[in-house]
Amino acid sequence: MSLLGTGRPAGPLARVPAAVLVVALAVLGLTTYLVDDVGVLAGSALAGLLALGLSGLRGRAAVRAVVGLIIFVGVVVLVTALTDTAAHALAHGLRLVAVLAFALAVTSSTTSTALLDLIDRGLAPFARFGLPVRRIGLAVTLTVRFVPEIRARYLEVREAQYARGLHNRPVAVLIPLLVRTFTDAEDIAAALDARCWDADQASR
Amino acid sequence: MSPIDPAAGRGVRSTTTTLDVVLTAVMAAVIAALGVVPPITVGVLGVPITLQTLGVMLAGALLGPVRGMLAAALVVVLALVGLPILSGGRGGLGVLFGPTGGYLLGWVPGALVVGLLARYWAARVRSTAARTVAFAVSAVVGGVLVIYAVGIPWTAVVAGVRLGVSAVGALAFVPGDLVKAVLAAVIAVGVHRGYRKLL
Repeated sequence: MSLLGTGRPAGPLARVPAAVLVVALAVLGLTTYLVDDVGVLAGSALAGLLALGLSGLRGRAAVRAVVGLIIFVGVVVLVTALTDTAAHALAHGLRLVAVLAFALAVTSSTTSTALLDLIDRGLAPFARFGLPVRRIGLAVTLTVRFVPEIRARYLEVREAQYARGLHNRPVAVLIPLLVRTFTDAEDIAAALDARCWDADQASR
Repeated sequence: MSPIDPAAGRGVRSTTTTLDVVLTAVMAAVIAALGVVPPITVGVLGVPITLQTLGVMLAGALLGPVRGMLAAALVVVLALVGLPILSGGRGGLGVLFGPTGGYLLGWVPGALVVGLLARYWAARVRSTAARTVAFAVSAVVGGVLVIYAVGIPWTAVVAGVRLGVSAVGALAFVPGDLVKAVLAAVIAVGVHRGYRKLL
């Protein structure tokens, strides 16, 4: 089970490069939070919803996401209306719809791999200043690789504890899990060193 | 020859070893994994608590300020690029604008503070009982105070509510987080006993 997945995002927005989508989200975020004009905010909200419609998000995931959005925005609008002015409530409601919908559209139209590549490319120029780009890349790869395994181990250890009658004892599960995980880390580090992977090397 | 130098974990070192990178990465994986397993019901409270913040506290308590903070940062980045590793299978940039955005970002300074207190104070306390208390205090300061100090204002700005309103909204989560801090302390003491070369 790969956490990064092999799915290709669907929808017309998926054809837009990830960099463009992220920048667009940043611009939208800045605009909506710096501007107070209801017209602009309403337009942004519509833009966000339009983007969401153009993204590949469909089916149950879409329903869940949209319901979550509505609930959150609804609560915020209600609370703001009660503790502040109705105008603020409307403004912030529109703001949240704009950024949440657009952010959701971006997440649904990009792959995590594409975004990580973007970050990698963004950080690459800093390698000359000593930023350990390779180390970061290794860390990301290792983390993604081990999440499913650690999750599986957690469930295993928990089952074993349950079998001993020790229910809901995170201490009893996490101590052995962590000790084992750190011991494995030693083995992995040894294997990397055996392949002459040099941690002190800041860049390629 | 073993790459693990028994002296390497203590004091200030200027070079990062391969083991440092791997420890950071697997700790990040633990934090992420704690987001994809079901919440557990701890007897005291009666309501299920998610364990992910516990993982963040442990990152600082077990790996120290730098590696702990970097582990937290790794998880934050991976969550924001879309991996569904936050409790409830959430992820993506939208999280920043949602109810937990600031609390997520707070993991980074939170783990740092837990790590600083753990390495330079808690880990050095002699008696086991007092050490556990010290770790618990470290976890509360870093894992609760610092994280909330980022989360409450962030939510206020993003959602446009008054700071006081945001703070009240956060109150409900304090008991659960205090329980997590105590658990983190007990776990940290236990892990340090079982694997001695960390702090």
